[in-house]
Amino acid sequence: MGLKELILNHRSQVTTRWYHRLVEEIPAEAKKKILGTSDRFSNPIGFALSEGTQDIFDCFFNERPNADLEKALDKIVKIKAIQAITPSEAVHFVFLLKEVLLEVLEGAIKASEALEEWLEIEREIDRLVLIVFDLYSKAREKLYEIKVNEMKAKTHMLRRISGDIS
Amino acid sequence: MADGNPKKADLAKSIETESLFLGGIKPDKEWTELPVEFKPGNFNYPTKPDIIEKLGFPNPRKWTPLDEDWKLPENWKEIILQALKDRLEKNRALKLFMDTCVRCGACADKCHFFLGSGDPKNMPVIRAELLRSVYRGEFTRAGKILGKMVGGRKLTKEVIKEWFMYFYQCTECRRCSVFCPYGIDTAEITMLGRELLHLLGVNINWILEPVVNCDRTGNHLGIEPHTFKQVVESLVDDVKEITGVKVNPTFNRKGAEILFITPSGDVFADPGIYTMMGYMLLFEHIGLDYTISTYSSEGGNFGSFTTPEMMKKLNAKMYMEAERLGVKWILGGECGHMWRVVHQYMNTMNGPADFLEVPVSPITGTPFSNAKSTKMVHIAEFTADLLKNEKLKFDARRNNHIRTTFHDSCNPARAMGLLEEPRYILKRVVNNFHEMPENTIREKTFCCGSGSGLNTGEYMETRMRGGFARANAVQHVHDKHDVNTLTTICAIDRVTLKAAMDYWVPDVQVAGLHELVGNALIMEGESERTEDLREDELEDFEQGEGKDE
Repeated sequence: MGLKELILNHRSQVTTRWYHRLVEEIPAEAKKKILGTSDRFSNPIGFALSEGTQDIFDCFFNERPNADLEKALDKIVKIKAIQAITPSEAVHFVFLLKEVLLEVLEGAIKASEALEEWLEIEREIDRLVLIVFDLYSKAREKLYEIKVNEMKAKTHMLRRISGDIS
Repeated sequence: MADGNPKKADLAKSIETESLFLGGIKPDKEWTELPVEFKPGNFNYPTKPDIIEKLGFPNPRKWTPLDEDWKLPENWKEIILQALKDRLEKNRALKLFMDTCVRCGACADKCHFFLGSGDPKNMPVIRAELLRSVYRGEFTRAGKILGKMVGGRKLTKEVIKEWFMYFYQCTECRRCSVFCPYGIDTAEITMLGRELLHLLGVNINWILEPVVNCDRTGNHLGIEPHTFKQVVESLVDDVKEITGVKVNPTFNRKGAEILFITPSGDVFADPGIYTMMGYMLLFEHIGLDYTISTYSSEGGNFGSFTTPEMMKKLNAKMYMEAERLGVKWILGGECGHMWRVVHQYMNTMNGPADFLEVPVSPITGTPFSNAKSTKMVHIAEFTADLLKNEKLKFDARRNNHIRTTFHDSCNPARAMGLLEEPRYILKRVVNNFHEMPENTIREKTFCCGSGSGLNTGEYMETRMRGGFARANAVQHVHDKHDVNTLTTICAIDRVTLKAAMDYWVPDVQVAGLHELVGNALIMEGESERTEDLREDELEDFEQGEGKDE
């Protein structure tokens, strides 16, 4: 069995652990509540992180089209892009996937015959980081655009009667 | 790190230990140990000194929350403790709210800011505790002696900073109060907290400047009467161009039967203007005898985000204008907090408005006895009554390009119980209506995340966190039913949800209820309708024989 197939067989462990690594950054008092329910509407962040990590896993390891992968990554990126964290902290969640894979499949990965395949997977995960960087920048640009549009919209009619817009 | 660049090992360590998912807060610490850190994006700009001076509020000065020294008055502590003491004696609800909470946690995960940030101080119970702990530590015997052991703490400058951060990270939406078994209204605690902060000059420009403008010219933007009139007339031209019908609003007309007051956002802002066009089409359709005041040209009351006195003063303007014009009653447009002020505070502050008559619909004869004290009727009640009595000719197919869901605005939903009327209207004028899930609508509706004066540009990141819970439910109906429009009955929503949708669910636009009513109305003498009020093309259907109620 190849390494990738092995990873696919460990989908549940990998995605669950990845999700838990993401939410362990939430303060203890809040975490109890965040993790307390799986209802999408009572726990929107928890749901988005859980769904996001699973979708990314599926798109990535099943080699789905890039558009699907970006959509899955964007679920988490958009949440990260509006938190009071630095850009590097925002993209860090992708690196966690490497750590989680190593934790779950340490023995198999360290076996000499899997090394080449693992290095390839690592390179692919690095590519994910680049996509996430683009998506993060896009989300931030969107925020600035929204700020400008909102200011314009607020005075829409005044700009119109002053001849600024038609 | 002497050269200013972090070393690789330090960087790795900082990512491991400080890579904080939500809001930049430290994991595994009690809320009392979490520091208050102001960063761009998590605070609103403070009020400009000249604005504070114009209002006669205390301590005008230049400052920013990023400063170590907030330049509080020398006797700041005495001011707050005395003010809190006065209010505890005067306001029995406050005393109850301070003493009653058993920290059961029912409210904890009901706040949109908590759900979008994971910050424990955004749990309503802890937000209230920010004030309650000071009450215990400074006012109760047990708290004075035992301090932290009984959840008491002393008032410090750090506490003031914390109050500023978290009482301005609450939109006073009252979702938490729906779940509190004791009925504690955390919005009232936030209002009180903000009121105390005003005494130190700790407040935000986005709230106080509209208050000054409203006080002076009658609307948030400070637009003078002639410009206000010019803008409405410009919308009249738009309506004529789209429908072929000239609508005829009047201004400051004495002796009109009804004074119509709506948020100025409906007059000036996109997309509120389409709702304004809808109102005018409706009034023309039924031949309503109404007038618009260019002096009381604002339904919103940002005074309600400052002090009871300022809220009362701005609210009184509407009633003084109604009295001056000699109207019988007031019809109010699609606004959020205006209705909280009217429904919950007006009667005590400025009522009863005995110089007006109990509102009766001139078209259907229906008396609005629910408004017999305030003499002010919500337009959704008014229009629902018109529909029920089959007084409107309309064709819902003109909205066939709209697939909508309905966002219950916090104040009409939770402060006045207006849940059915907007739906009654929507289901008739639109053919594609899909509700969001039960725990996100009606009295459990999620806030837009930017209400109560927090809809500033500089606060966008925090607003997006606050709006995530609502957007998540919209995303659900967008995915499931291809919903492309979020209809709402609040002018702030029309601005703030537009921003939230642009970020979270970009394929969904935001509309007002009466915009959709206006789209559907069959007007006498109209030209063939090919566009909606936004000048978007209608879907093809057989025009002519419209259904009427």
